[in-house]
Amino acid sequence: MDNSGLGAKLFQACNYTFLGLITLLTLFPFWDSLIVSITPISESMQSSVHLFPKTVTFEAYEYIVGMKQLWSSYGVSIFVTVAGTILSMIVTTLAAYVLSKSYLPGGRAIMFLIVFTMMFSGGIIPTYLVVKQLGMMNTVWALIMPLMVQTYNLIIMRSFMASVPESLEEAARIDGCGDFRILVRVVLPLSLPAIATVSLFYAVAKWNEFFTAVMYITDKDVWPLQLFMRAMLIDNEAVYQSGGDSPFLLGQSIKMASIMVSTIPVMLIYPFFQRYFVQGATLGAVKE
Amino acid sequence: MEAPTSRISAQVKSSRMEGIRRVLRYRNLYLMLLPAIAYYIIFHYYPMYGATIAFKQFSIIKGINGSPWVGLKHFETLLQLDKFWEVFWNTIVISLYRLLFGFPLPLIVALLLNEVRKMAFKRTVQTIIYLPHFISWVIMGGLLINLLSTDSGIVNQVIRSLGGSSIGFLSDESYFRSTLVGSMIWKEFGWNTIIYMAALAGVNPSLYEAAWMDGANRMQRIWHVTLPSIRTTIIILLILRIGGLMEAGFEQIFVLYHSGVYRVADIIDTYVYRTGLADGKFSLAAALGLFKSIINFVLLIIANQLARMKGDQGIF
Amino acid sequence: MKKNNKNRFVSILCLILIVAMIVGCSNNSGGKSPQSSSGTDGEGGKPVKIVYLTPGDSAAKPIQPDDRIIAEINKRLGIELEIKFVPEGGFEKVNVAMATGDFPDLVTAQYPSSSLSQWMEEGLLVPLNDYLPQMPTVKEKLEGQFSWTAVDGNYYGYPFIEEKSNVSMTYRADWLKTLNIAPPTTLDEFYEALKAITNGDPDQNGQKDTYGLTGTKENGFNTSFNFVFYAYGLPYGDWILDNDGKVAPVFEHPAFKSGVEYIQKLWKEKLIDPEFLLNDTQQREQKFFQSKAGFMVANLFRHVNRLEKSLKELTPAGELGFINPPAGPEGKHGMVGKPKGGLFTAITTKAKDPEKAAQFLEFMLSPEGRELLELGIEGVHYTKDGDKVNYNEEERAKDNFASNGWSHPLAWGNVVWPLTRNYLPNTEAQADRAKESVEIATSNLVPNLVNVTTPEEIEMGGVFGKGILSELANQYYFDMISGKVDIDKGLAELSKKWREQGGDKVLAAVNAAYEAQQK
Repeated sequence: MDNSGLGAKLFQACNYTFLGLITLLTLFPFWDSLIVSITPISESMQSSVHLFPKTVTFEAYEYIVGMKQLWSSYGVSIFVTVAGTILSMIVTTLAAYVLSKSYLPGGRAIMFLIVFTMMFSGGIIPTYLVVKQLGMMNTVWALIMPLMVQTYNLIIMRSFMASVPESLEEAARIDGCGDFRILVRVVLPLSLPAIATVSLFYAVAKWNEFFTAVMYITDKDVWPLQLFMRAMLIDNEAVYQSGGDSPFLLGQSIKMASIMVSTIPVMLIYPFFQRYFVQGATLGAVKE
Repeated sequence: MEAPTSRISAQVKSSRMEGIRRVLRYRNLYLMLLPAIAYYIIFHYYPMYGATIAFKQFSIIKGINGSPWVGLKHFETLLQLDKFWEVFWNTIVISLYRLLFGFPLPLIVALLLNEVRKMAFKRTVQTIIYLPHFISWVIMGGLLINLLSTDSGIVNQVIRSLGGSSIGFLSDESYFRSTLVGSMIWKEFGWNTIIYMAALAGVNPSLYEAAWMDGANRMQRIWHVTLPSIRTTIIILLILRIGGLMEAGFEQIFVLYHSGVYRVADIIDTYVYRTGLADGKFSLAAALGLFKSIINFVLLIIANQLARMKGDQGIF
Repeated sequence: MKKNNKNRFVSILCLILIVAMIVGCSNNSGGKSPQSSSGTDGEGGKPVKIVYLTPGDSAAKPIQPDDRIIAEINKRLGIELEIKFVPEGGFEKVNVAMATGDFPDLVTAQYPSSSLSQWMEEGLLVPLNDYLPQMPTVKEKLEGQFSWTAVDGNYYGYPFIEEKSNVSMTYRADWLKTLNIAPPTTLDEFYEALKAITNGDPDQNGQKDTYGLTGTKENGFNTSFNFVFYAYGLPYGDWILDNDGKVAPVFEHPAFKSGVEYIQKLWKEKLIDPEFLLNDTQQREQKFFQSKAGFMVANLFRHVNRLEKSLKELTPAGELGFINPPAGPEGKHGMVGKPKGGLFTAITTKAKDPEKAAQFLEFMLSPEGRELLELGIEGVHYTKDGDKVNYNEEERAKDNFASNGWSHPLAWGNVVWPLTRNYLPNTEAQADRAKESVEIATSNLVPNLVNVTTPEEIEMGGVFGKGILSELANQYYFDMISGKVDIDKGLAELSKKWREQGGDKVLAAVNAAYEAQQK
């Protein structure tokens, strides 16, 4: 490739510098929170920017980890994320594949009706009744089923699958493959980046879901992590005014430690999914 | 007289038969669609009757279906609010800024990342830029205040040491929207890059090879190979973004704004929430939701049709 | 093998969904109306099930199925209690549950609120009147200070409205000593003190980096500096009477104008933190700890110890002081208006046994109930050594009591706060000062002209507080103190606009309520 010319070198130099800079810039919020979470409050409060701690303490983490609720909430959130993502992916992938067929009679109408639900809904009351009638109140299913398909993700998936060349499918069809087999054998392997992306979107959304939990879960044993963490995060006026029992002495470091405890697990899944975006590009690089 | 009619009906019948045959031919495909359709029926279309409460006076005893109709009363309540058009306008302006400045950056970063050949660097950058997505606005708000405050904020310290005077990024009406949009981009651009990265991963490498053989330079390659390959993704994201114009970022604004900047920062959602107008009033809340949805939907359809006219597939 | 499983899974999934769809659709009834059917259980030996939906104390731990306190309540009252917690402030969930007919037996809601009014109007709540003879603690409060909460003679529930206050004028005592000034008692002295703090470098770091006073952002009218209005003699926390004896908005009182002038002076001379509007409670406190502000209006009580400890972490010589807010020309002073709202716990018409539900409500407030919820079971969770209580933290932890002698998850946040009872476990540091702060703060509560909050106010707001009218007043207030709008002109415009935008309707309603109250 044209990586020998001076212009190309200059471009690469600028590119690396620019990307490096924005990386540092975006690392800052996370880094700052991490540092505050492990710094004694007397130190972290003295400056507005926290780059390196002088003293390190895990007091805030000890406090949070010592809460029984954390562990049951972890369990709930992990189950909801894993089971929910698998279920969502199956249903979304099937639908996206079918709807990516422009020749399917009624396909466009169905797509229209699906997109319609992105904008219009019956509101919370009838949805609540459905969840109640299905007997899902206070169960993990209330956190999984109502959000099973997210139209945004369906649209993304569909558009990726539409780009799989029809000729490959035709070839498989001539070999006697049925639709389902074509999906599994031909389309899915070619859609790995899309599957990785949409799975990631689902997983993160499920991990962060808050409103559904407020609505359908009143048993603290089924509280997902977000509900529990929100209680630690919110600057709660009522608690302040009335002197409720809260661990505010650790204050800011507890807040930040909660952030870490609640987000690090979901962040860790990223590299796993990332393989699939980078892989495609690697193939390209090899061919170069 | 009889003959033509029966011929027509025969035609209708045969085309109906043809339709049924076509449907039968794709029965496996429809079967695969079934779980999703079931989901949409159960959790979206079956509850859809609830939208009628926007035109009713909701009574708990009578239920949604039994509540009396009140016509457009709730819409009138909303539209007659003295502040409504001010906050409506703010919603659109802030949303447009977000679209204008927030939409291109993830694409640009993805294209630049695509040019990076050092895998380790690429991976590191990708992993890090998506981190702020996970820091909630409540926390980002505190952070921004620390960074941007006029007396002790580091940004203003730098500005002062360069000989400038402090800027009230968060307290001055003329800077507030820029701060909003800037911080939104800061937090979300990395996350929004993911989808383009996935699209770029699917670009056929042989296309690059061909371009290279043709002696295309980098810009030409990006312009003639990369961009057209991910055009569909870009268009679809753009259509979806346009269809979300009435959502200007409630959580972010709610954390960052204050009465000193309401005039430029108050959007419909924050105003209604803050004043408690719709607290426990399901009908009014539904009317507000419907009002926003209709605007969003019209915009979405327009954007979709424009895309189709330009030869793209669009969403539907 | 793998693929087979996948196939099977998909077909099972389809099946489940289809079944679910049929079940879901056949139940086509929309918002079901509540039925006040009395279950068969409860009559014989089997205890009545009582479901209580409440936003509890956010920091409270979950209640385990084998909780001994709940078991003890069940035993004493002959009930089977199920507590459903929504997150603190999660009234949306409570509203939706009620709106869908998914009634608990007992529910805690926001008071006043349009949802609560709707429940009363639609007859979803059981009046407590018939059960009052069995509810001595509740009866005493309802027929005493809360008699005005009755609607047409019916008490639809127990209002939890804070009667005490912990809002105090808090300051850096060490700074005033350094600057050699006495704690200010009048607005003039207060002004001088702020000036000295702003310009006199009280933290002696050689920089002009301190502000006299800071505040907090707020939804609705910003009450951070309301003490100035009360100092100038604003007589009530909600409404005033005009010369004709009619109810009028507080900004038409001369004290309001004098107050705005005073605050404007502080603002112009940069004695107030220019970015106080960015602060939430925590950031405001942080500025105090970081030696950026000398005075703040803060919530004390239990926080006395926390605030001082945090301050000392950063500045070992730091000292926290609290005083009466400064007095005006006529010696008057006040801090905040007396609360007119809070929470409301009511029995729904779906309660299987309203009498038992009433007994449970009474129990939570009764001395016997308080002892159980705050201390636990004697001999198990604590022992008494004369007056001194010894907490058995190990046993208490098993039933999810909070640490350091604090209480059971059910103790706070629904019908009472520690503040209401002036309750502190004897493990608490600086308990005496904490109680003293409540005494001072409570003596600075400003009475209200009208007890009730009218439906019109719930919808549109008044002046201080939340709602579209309060927003309007707040906007003018800030434009006037920051000098954007001339005070006389601003007040005249505000009066006009406020009335036009719904204030007239509100005033009519409040006047009617006031007249009814005078009878």
